Amino acid sequence: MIKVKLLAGVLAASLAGGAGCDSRSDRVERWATTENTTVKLDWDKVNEAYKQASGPEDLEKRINEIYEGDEVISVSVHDQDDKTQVVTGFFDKNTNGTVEDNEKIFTIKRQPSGEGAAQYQTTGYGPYYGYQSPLFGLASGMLLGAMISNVFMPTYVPVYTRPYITAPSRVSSIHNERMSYRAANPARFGPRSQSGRSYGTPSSTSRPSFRPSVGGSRRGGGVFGLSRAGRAARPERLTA
Amino acid sequence: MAQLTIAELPFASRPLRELLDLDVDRDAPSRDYAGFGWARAAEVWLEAEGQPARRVVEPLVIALHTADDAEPLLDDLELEFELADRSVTVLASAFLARWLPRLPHGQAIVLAVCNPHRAALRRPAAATVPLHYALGDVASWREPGGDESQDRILLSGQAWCTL
Repeated sequence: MIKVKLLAGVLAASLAGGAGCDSRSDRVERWATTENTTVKLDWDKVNEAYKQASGPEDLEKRINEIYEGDEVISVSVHDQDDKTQVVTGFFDKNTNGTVEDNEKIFTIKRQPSGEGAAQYQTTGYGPYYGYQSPLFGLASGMLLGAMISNVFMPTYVPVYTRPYITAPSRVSSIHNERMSYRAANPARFGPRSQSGRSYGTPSSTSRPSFRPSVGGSRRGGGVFGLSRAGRAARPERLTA
Repeated sequence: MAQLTIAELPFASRPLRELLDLDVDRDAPSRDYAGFGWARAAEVWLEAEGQPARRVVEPLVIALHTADDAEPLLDDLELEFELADRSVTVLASAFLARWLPRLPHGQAIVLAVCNPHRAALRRPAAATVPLHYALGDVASWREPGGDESQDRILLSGQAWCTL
């Protein structure tokens, strides 16, 4: 039942993004995982995908080939002003074709940094909260996809002042294209585990366990989780 | 067996050290701890992977548990309460809706509860101050100071989120 509910949630509504981790805390660059699918997102590849994309649809394709989970990542591309562009990756869980805060998984913000130069930075949200890329420099003359290189053209005008957003009707075709891509890359995308977990994931019983560095005389207290896997019956759930 | 409601759970105030299972001296956190309840604290430190510990002043600390076979939910936690005669589960959203209005919030609310599926919790309507919760496992730690009152109490998680 759990599996059915999880899969139904993932396939029908897609994965929930974070409801906003604390923006005041320090952020560090790291790989992030989401335990809902335990799917890693290779940020290096995501950053490179933006750099090389020819346009929003190509970026969608690249991002979804990078992502190893079941959900389709929708993309919003918004030119906020003449030179500033924000790309938002999100799980359109309510399939309404708009970005909502709890659906966001990353943003890529590109802005000018001088004459003939720009920079971009990627930030994770929701299940990918905690990731923030370095500032990547861009300059005319670099090997760039059209999505970025156009900004250095004298004739450049922002195209996405009205944002491009992955249409909900496109999600199934992106999903199908990705299935073909995965089928063509069996070395990377092995068979799904019996647990129904996503590609390349640890077992469903593994729990992330951050153990802080234990220096000096630090003493342990309790873990706020219970080991109950394998029990015959689950407890009654109180609803009132 | 008598029908129990969420509001009737024996969710009580306890001394902070007892609540966080810090009143026993041990090297590493115990995975057998099933205690729950709430406490007001002068401060606690929230420690996340790869980040310096962050001080939270005068929080209401709420200690709860999830089981490793809890239902994976996108935006909620299935809490488990080990009672004297049985265990029951309650969704965190329902639990907080019932209990937060009854508790003294202090300057912040800290949920000490494992979030194995990294659910993105929604802010409870009854919360009047920032609410902190973690992704991944949560464990309590104590760094002894000069005397007990100077001990630093920490909660570690993979990441801490604030609503």
